[in-house]
Amino acid sequence: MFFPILGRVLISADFWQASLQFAALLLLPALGGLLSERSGVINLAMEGLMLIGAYVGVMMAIATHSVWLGVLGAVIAGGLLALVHAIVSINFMANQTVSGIAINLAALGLTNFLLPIQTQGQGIRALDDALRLPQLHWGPLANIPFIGPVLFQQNIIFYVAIIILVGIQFLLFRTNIGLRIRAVGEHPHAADTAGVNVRLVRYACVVSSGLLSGLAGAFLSLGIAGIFNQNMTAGQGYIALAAVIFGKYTPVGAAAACLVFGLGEALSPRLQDTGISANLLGTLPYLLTLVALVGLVGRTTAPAADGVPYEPASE
Amino acid sequence: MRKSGAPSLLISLFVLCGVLLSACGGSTPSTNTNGGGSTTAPKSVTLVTDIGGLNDQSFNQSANVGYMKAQGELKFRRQVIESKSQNDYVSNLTRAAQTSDMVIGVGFLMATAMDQVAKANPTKSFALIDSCATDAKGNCDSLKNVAPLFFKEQQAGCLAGVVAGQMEKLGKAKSSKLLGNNTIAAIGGLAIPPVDHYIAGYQYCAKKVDPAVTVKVNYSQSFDNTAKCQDIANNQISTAKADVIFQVAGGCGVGALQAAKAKGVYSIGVDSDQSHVNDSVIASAIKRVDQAVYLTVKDFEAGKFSATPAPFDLTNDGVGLAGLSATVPAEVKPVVDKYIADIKSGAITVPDAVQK
Amino acid sequence: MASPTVQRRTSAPASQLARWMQKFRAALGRPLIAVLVAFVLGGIIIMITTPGPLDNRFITAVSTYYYLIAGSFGSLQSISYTLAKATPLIFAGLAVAIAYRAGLFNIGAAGQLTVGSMVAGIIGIQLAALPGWLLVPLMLLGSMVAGGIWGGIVGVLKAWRGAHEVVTSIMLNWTAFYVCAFLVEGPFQAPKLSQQTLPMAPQATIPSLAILYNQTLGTFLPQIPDPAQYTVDAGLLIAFVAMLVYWFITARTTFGYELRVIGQNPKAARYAGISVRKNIVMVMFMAGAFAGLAGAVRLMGQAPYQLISSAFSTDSTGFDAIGVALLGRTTSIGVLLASLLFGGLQQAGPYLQSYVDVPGDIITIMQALVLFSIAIEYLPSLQRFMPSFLVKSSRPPLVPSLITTKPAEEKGEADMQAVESGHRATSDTVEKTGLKPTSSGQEE
Repeated sequence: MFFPILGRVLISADFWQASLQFAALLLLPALGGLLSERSGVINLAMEGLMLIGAYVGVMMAIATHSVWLGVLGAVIAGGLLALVHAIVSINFMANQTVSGIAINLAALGLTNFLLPIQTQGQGIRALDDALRLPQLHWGPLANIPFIGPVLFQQNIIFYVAIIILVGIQFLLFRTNIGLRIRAVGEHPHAADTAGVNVRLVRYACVVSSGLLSGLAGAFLSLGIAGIFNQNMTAGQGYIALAAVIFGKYTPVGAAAACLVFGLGEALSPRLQDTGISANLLGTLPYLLTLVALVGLVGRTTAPAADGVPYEPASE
Repeated sequence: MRKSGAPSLLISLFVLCGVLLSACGGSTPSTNTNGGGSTTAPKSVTLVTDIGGLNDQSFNQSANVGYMKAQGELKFRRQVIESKSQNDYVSNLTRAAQTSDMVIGVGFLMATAMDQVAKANPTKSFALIDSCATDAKGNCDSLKNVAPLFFKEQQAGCLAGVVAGQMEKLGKAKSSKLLGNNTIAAIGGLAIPPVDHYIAGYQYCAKKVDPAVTVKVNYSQSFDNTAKCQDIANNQISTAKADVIFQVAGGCGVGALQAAKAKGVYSIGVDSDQSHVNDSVIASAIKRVDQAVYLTVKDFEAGKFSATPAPFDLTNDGVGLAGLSATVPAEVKPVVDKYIADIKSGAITVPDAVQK
Repeated sequence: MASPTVQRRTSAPASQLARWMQKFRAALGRPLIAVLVAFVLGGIIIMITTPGPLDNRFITAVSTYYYLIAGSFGSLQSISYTLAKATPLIFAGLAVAIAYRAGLFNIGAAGQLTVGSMVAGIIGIQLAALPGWLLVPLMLLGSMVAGGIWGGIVGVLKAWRGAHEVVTSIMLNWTAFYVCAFLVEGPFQAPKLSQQTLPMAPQATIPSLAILYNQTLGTFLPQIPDPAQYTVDAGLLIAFVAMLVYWFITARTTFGYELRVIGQNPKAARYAGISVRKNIVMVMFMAGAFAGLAGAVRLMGQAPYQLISSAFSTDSTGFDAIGVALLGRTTSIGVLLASLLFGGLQQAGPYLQSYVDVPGDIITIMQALVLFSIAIEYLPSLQRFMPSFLVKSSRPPLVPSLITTKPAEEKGEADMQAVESGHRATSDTVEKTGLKPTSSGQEE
């Protein structure tokens, strides 16, 4: 009974479509976190950055009647909150772990606190279709059996995420800027000596992590869900963080990690027909990731200066 | 939601700065209406919500609507305590009992906590939505100061099932979006009594109307993860070819309604009229938690507190079917009316256990 | 990168009083400032979001704090509620703190707490026939072992596979939530109820502190009238014992010393002949045991004495514990004070909406602000912005980490390090916290 159902799920386009969508949602904050860590700033704040993005995205979309302004608001919101993390981490040399946790708490508190105030206690109703991010439909390509629905009928942000993935992979390993980012994360003093503005690079990377996480928040609230719920990110920012480490701090690795998790997440409700408890199936994405991490990946090494505030060598 | 204009835009931007938060007034919380010096002070009532918050678009919010309506009419001091975790039930209920004359608990998970607090505060009155107070053995404890507010969700679920079943029976000729596999589906949040009552009624009546119909039931394990319900509904539609999706999963279920719209099939909302979500929603099985709270508070203030209130069902409009859409074939409405009459008269008894 | 060693300094020639003052400043000064700053910022947020003229807003902000204090410490009963909320936070805070000592970020306290409460509950239900004097210790022990194993898995995976503890703990958290929800909704479900177990039998519970007092000391001292209204349970006493154990382990044992060395520099630890692997597993086991106790004590100490499946993932204790441990600077007293602060806020928060019409979630924002403040450490930061000649001689270490200064502080040498030497902390001596794996720094 189990294997026929599993088999049927694995060959269904719908399963792969869902897996890729979940993976793309995680990929954006993961790429953001990756940039930040690569530049030497520990970033645990993706959860909060996503949440604030999701909230501001919905609020802006409603206020301006434009989903694109909503997305813009979400991205800016994530960026600004990340800027707070950047300032306290880089200028105040704060403990970056604490700051990240504080950002997450702050985002949770702010969204819960402002929601009743801004909606006069009514909450947010489900958004109209016009205020939601569109699912794209790539004409004839979308009609190819299996491949069509999986690859060519996704939400617009899915494609944006793929482009950003390629872009960041290229940026980090093929460009001068990427070299600088990595240098700053590994040997800030050497980088400084070589004329790289360490703090500027770090600022840019941390804020980018906010922009990307904010975009993911908009994807969640304006794209997938079409509504804002309290604490709607429900730990996905932490999963993204796990994906960064799991993926050995490389964009492609992180994407693979997100895909593993996305597969698990899509698989778990589809196996309910086998009669296995839904609760036990719920552990699937987590156990899958755990097994993959322990069995395949093993030791991961953070950039050498990750978490170390930079101070110019002399005054 | 469409009320908030430019101020909201401003606010949304300022959220981030932490300091510059939502400036410029604009949207402001309503002020407390206190007793206001009336001669006979009304007895105070406190609402203790389950987790999820007052804006959950589900039973907490519905209970709050009823509570606010009663508060507006009767002018007692407003006190709403939001539970943040299930571990807070006892302390929240105790605090509420100490500071007011009546306490309304939202949600069956409070059953045991309610029992202990009600026993410790025998002079105060309590009401509990969806459950009785249960003792250490899990049995209903018939305390004189606790009013269990039960709903016959299965009756509302039944009417949803009648609509779905009848549409399947009439077939594609009448409802163009049907997929022709004679399958309908339901998505439950968790397999808990209120949810299962809905689904049981849906199953039973759909099959009664159209014995050939297949009813696919899945649970999302969540009441708030919209993406999950959307994903499950997508799967039900594309794999099982289900063409009417009944969501019984609160905020999560909104995702199911959206999936139905995206895939071009029909959906049925739950708890309140959800036809505003999109035009795939052909009807909603409703449960008037607000009405129950409102009536209970009103009775209490009038000195008519009862520890054994009648369950809320079709006869007292405690449950029902709302927002039957124009896309539903005209032949469906008479069948629904017939079932309503039969349930009210007792000719049909709807079961409350889901058939596996 | 050079490999610094743990700095052990001889104490400064200072009078007893001065040393005490320094100790006080080191332990409390900065957290206190952090809390004050956070409260001022919180007040500003309230003033911005409140309607009405400025003086109205000010009154709302002030009354918010009035009700926060009154609601958490304003009466004996409030205090008892606050203590009841703080008790699990103390255990969980210690669980995060002890791992942090070894440079491990235990984000998995939530999961360890969950399995701890689950196993305690299973023992309580299955062996309900046993007498209380046997059953209660058995449940506590069971929760420690269960939580310990859950934490130990993280340690083992870290030590032998190099799997990062943050990743594995997050995965294990959710695994714990789901598996325990399955157990509660499956084999241990109460008949006729859903999503919950039956309440524990009376002999499987921990008595309330007031009732315990009345039955023991109260037999010859004045009785506490109406003890049922004071909800704090004897689990608080167990928490004090746990704090004592924590202090002893970290300050008085070789193991505690080795933890600090590992936390500061795993490479140096290895050179020093310390078994890093064994210690990582041990410390994660202990962390798990502390967290497991948090779950058990709340199950056994607080009504309704039952497990609810959906509570596992919604309970924030395991995550609040991170804030508690960091705010408490990983000392046992600090964890206690931070638990009282967080417990008090959480106790008073839900009532704010009724009294001053401020959403109760303001307390989450305040917790976040406290954490920001503690992360920033205003004084050193301000000093850094001063002209250098002003601060050259009295410059504190520019170390943001909570750990690096820790060992010195405990011996009352808080800022002596910097004062004595004017030593500049470069990134070499900076402890790597959080995400830094033990095998770092090989890239040279």
